Amino acid sequence: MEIIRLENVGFQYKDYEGNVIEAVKNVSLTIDKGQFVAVLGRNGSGKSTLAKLLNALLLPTEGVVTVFGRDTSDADNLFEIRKNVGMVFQNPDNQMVASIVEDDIAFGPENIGIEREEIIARIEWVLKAVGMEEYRYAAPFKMSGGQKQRIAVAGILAMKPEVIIFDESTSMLDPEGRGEVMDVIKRLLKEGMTVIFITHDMNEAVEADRIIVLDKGSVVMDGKPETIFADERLPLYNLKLPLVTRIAKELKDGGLPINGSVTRLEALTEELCRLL
Amino acid sequence: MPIVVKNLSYTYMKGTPYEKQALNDVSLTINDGDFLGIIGATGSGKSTFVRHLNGLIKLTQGSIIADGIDLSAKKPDLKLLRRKIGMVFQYPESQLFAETVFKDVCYGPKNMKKSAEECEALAHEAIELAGLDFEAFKDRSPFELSGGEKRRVAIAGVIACKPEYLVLDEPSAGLDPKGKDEMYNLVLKIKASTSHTVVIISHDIDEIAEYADRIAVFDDGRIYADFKTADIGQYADGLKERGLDVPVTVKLRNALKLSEITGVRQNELIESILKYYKTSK
Ligand SMILES: Nc1ncnc2c1ncn2[C@@H]1O[C@H](COP(=O)(O)OP(=O)(O)OP(=O)(O)O)[C@@H](O)[C@H]1O
Ligand SMILES: Nc1ncnc2c1ncn2[C@@H]1O[C@H](COP(=O)(O)OP(=O)(O)OP(=O)(O)O)[C@@H](O)[C@H]1O
Ligand SMILES: [Mg+2]
Ligand SMILES: [Mg+2]
Repeated sequence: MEIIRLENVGFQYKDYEGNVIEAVKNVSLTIDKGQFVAVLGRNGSGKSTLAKLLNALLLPTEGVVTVFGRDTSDADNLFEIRKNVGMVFQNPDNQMVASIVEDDIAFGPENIGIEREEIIARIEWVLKAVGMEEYRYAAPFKMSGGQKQRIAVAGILAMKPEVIIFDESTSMLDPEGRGEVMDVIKRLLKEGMTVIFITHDMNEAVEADRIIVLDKGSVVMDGKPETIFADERLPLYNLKLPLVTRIAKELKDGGLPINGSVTRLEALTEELCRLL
Repeated sequence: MPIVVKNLSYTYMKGTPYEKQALNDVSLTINDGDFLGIIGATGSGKSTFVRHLNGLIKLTQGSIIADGIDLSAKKPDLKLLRRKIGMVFQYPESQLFAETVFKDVCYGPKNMKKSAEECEALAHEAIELAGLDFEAFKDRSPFELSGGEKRRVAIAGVIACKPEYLVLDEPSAGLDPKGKDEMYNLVLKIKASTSHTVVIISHDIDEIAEYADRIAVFDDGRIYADFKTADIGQYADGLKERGLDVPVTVKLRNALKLSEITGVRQNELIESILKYYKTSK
């Protein structure tokens, strides 16, 4: 079932001198319910702008964005769209609203009219999910970088939106924290949530069902991870292969007859044990 | 000269119900020429530690002598200290402030009383080195940029000052894959010329193992271990116990269990595997 549709969408920023910056150009695509989509692309390629177009934080300057069949440019749809499309920002400071973690997390659900008891249950659930139970009464502004990111993720999870957009929301988490967020995502996908995951980490992108690559505001690749990572154009867009795949490729180029393309460490280890 | 930290402890919001001990008796000497990688779980005290080094957090317990400047003195020369030790913060937004990218990057050199031409030349060079096109970005507002572009401006602002010590708090977060490689190569390049000592915090152990020569591991406000990168294999279990990762190269090596196969850096390992394959065939 299609839940997001972009038709010839463009977006231009104007800077303070009135110069136009074309951040998104002529993008047409659809995203189905339950998909796990990774969005990749060089710095400044338009990923965050595209994300903001999906929950009506920005309105397209060209074309139409529809979410659940609702046009994001129609102000009457704003509440429904914001309620159903949650976004975790690139910098968690842009997202913190309250001086206590618990209130910060409650803010979103309160705004969409969730009952108090349910909110309390959700606070407990999300803090556990991101491993921050101890910090329930702490101040979100007075935390380490990674702790802030965890709280930002928790705040959006608590709204239980239909779609969650993660805009590099795990970039400062330790390996355990990343694992925890990935586990939560996988659980939510099973429950039918749609996840759009912007990242520069190729190891995370491998986990997605589909990868969209942006360059200069346009979609330049769109496909399954295997297809994308087999595409020779990757370096043109400042992207690289996941580390394991890169090591496998160099071994192969060096004369080791490794079978197929390898993305996981276990697979590479198996191949090497067979060959050595 | 080295940066010598002895018995450093720090508690945020001391004396309030929210007090939080972030550092607990940390001693570490950063030697001239070190390329030190700092790793550790979320909240383990990494940023608190490095913010002490250039006086962003006032020393309360323990001692720090940074390149001969005693931070426990009554009035340490913080201006001189910050000129020597350049720091890129964890979130670039907390470092950007001027109306344009150019003015932002010029700020440091200007403060060092360089002439207008010198400032311009330094800023130009630094912006390009950080991977941004000077003409396209110089007049843009640093606040109206993408996340990775902001990060690059923050890095440019620091390298424009050519500090002797370069401290970078998760600098690769937000950079695209090619940008990460370029950033590390840039650091290696300036390490060979102006900033001889480099400290980088990162959660990406593969990156740290590839570039750093020495690794310090923070754990709940203490230093759990401090070793040469080549020896990381010996710490695999300890790192895992602390929720940290070991490099992919070490995982591969450990899984293969062949004493002939060595190397922590990717090229070393690849060469060693290929050599083993060819000689054993
Ligand atoms: N508020 C703004 N005002 C003007 N231009 C902007 C603004 N935000 C972003 N831009 C520009 O729009 C383009 C796309 O930016 P966007 O933030 O969408 O990129 P991105 O793909 O998310 O990059 P990154 O990987 O660095 O986060 C860039 O050229 C950027 O400089
Ligand atoms: N301004 C502050 N006020 C109060 N406590 C703080 C403040 N900044 C950090 N802390 C606390 O001090 C501890 C150490 O934080 P620090 O920022 O040094 O961690 P870190 O190792 O850099 O973590 P990360 O990897 O998440 O950036 C954490 O438990 C954090 O909650
Ligand atoms: Mg972005
Ligand atoms: Mg930190």
